[in-house]
Amino acid sequence: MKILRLVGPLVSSGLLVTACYLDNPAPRGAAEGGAGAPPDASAMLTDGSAPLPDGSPVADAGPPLCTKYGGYATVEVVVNDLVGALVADCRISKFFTTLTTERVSHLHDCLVKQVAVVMRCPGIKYDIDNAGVECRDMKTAHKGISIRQADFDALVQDLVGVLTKDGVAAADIDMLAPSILALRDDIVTNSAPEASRSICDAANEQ
Amino acid sequence: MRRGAKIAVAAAAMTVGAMVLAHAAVVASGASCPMTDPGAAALEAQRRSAMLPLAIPNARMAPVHDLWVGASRDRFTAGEEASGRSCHAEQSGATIRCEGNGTEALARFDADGRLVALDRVRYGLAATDGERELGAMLTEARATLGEPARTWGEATASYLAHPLRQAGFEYRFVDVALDVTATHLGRDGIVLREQHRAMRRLREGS
Repeated sequence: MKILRLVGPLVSSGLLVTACYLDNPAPRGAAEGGAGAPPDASAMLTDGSAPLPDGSPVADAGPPLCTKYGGYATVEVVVNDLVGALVADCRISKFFTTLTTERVSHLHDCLVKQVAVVMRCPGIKYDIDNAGVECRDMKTAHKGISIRQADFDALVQDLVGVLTKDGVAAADIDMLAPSILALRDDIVTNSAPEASRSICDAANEQ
Repeated sequence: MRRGAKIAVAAAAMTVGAMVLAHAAVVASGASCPMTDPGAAALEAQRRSAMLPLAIPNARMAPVHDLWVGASRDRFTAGEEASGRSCHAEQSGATIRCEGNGTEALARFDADGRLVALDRVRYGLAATDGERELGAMLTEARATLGEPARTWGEATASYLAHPLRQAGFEYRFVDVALDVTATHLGRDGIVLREQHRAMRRLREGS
């Protein structure tokens, strides 16, 4: 059972594949100034101190939540748990099962940084993954995937569930809420009732 | 470096490694990316892997085996359409999504066409409705399944009135898992979700 409990999350994380957060990452050098360059990369998620595009405040009262809950390592635990929850969520798991190896690594790294920025981990910026590939802004990363409101809602439900399960207090989730909900308008592009397409569907059309 | 940090770093490294292996396994199975149809068997293998972390020691069989487990596509679809929802197949029939009247049901079937996971979601509830519905579901679940393995949040309108507040309960059995949550998703109101999932491979006749 111990082995299952250890290997299970890793395998599920391995199967993760969160296409939601990327579709065609380009090396940083190639992206800068190029056609694939995110026009507003880091505009939404910077160093955690800037306001969000919609004017809503970031969680800036008191010590950083990142510090309060154990630092960057805790963020990595949260992201690993989130990925497991997403893969186990049949509503949206299809977005996470079609990524290439490079995209999977890119997604993982960028998602950790994104959550770290939202939780105000000192010195962390939403900039590049561990391979130096740029982490793109949400609007660019989700272009062409036709994410529905219901898809976004499903991810947020899973995220809140993970945060709660990992011990983040309701009052602190309250502080994170504006930052998380502000992502909706950049991610949700499909108002039609039919289901969204997978990342690979979108890639085929580009 | 603290022990927790070391574990987190090791887990992150292993996660990426597992992702690479998982993707390689999918590709080796004959599916390439972009791929839109990994097949019911692959989807079910992924789903079961993702379920492993949910297993708890000394779990027992569910005292009541929900009728939905093992249901066929036709039976499920007929029931949904009789309830006023329109259904369509996704992922070559491995998934049936039914929508209507502010509700959504998404069912996942294994390669033998038996239902293995079911999500039922109700959107746009008021906090008072969330309190009432979640409370009623917990009462009903207690009557048939006993005490839940875990509860979190507060099933009250005042608690659920804040964005991203979530209250819920979960049951973990050897054969099935049940998760019920009410989540405040900002302008979308309270979303109530029932998640029924088979915890292991269904046996013939089960």
